[in-house]
Amino acid sequence: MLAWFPEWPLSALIAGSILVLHGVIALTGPMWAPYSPTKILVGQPFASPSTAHLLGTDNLGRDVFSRVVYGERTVLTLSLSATGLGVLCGASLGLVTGYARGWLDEVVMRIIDIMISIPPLILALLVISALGSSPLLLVLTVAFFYVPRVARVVRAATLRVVMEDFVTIARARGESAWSIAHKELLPNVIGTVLVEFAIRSGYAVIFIGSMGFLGFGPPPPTPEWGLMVNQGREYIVTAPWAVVAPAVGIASLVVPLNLFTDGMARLLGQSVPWERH
Amino acid sequence: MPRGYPERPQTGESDQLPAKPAVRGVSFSISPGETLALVGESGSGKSTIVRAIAGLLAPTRGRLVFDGQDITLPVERRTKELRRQIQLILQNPDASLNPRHRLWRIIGRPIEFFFRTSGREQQRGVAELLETVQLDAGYMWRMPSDLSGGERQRVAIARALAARPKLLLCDEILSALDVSVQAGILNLLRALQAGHGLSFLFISHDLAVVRSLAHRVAVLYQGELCEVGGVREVFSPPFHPYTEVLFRAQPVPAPGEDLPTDVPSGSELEGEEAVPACPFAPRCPRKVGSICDRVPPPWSTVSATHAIRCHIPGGELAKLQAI
Repeated sequence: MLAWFPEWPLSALIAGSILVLHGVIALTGPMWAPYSPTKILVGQPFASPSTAHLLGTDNLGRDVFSRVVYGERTVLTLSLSATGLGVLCGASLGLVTGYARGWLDEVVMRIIDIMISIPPLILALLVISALGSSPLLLVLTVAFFYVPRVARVVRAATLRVVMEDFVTIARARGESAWSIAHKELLPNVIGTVLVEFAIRSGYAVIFIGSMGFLGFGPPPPTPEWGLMVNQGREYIVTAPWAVVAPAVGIASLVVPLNLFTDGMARLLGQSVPWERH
Repeated sequence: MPRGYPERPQTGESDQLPAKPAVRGVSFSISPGETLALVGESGSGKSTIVRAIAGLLAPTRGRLVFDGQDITLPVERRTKELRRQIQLILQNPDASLNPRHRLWRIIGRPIEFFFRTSGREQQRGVAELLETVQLDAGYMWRMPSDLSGGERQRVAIARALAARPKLLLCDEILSALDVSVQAGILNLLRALQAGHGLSFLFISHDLAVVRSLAHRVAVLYQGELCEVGGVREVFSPPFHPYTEVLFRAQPVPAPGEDLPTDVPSGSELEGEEAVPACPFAPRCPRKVGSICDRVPPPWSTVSATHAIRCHIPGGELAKLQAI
């Protein structure tokens, strides 16, 4: 098995397998989870882990294991769609401004500077308390934060390519800007885009978890991990499993994502910008 | 029908040096099947001229004429047919091929773009072009990183040929290559010209290469032409003083007699200092006097095809330079 991926570091391979496991749980979990995630009193409240309830039950007697399993789909859907949307728009913007340069680039970059100076959590709380919490709004907010950050990185990568002679040749041939962007430039910046996607998925999981924890995520009784940690918090002494299980869920997603990104970035010859937010 | 480029491209404010245009008062023409070599040191404006002809930068003054048609247009406003007929090959073969594309895509794209052929037919075209530049057709599945510098430059030539051009603009296309590899590409270029009746605008600072390939030579110094003529004429006296310096600068296996070789090595013009009437005056070993700084030198005709731009008449230059 290792022989198939000789160039990948072992840590990235292990991380990759864990991520695949997360994906499988998200896809198939509802088919084999023992209980409904929202049904109360499937067991005694605060029941400790047993064969009937692998991870015990919470204060309402809901099966924690089933809730964690169902929660996987919520967490992955929200964070991946937010990251996907943000990276898609940001990368397109970065590619266009990097290719066009001139006044368009200047204007867009100044707008991006302003957008980046907005503190994410504060604006997110403001938006959601004003417009009400909904999963769609959460996704859009996270994507909104990612667009300028991804655009800046992809623009920098594009600027390195755009002066190359093969772009000059394509221009002299009369290729359209669209054709140059996706045929000549994109293949040379796709590595950067992939690394951005991977690293920002991890941030998105944390951010969406935090929003859930603060009560600005999907409303109860949705089995969302951040929300579950918050709800279990009051009973942490009597039923620690109700807090630990979803917390481990988040950690087991974020840590492998970062390790996997690290390996992928090294393989693609990209820098790993851990400080970037 | 003769094809010519009486042209005076000047770079305007868009370029870094607003005060001094990169190219001034340059006028020359190229006939079908002819190779015109443009010679000059780096910074003399050779690439500016190529880029202007390719439509990549706009001359602030002057005209470009191709097949009797005014082509003083940026590339976006040129017809597809015109863009097809003028093709460009650049100096650095490592940078001129997209490192993420296989050769079939690199060479196939102009075929698809200009002739709307795809699939089998396009693949056959790529194979033929690879064979034209003496590479194996199987190379089409390779990446540029699998190739040597010389092979990459052959691919760049094949990509230019894919458009079936009339005029090839070759910007220092041999200078990044080994001498042994250069010879192979020189032969290829000669064969292409014989086979397809191509015209070349061949930019080079290598006089040996120019001598073996060019029919006519134009010598450029700091954006101005100083000598134009047939290759034999330019390569024998009378020379323009700058051309003479260029030859002296060539390493010669058996050095000749004592000649005035103490040429001041390039004096850069600083700040507000006025541009002399003859741009070569500050470095000229045969400077006549203050006239060179004040009065633009006239073109003196040595023969019907050979002209030198200098205050010293051609006959006198010949006497001075006769060995």
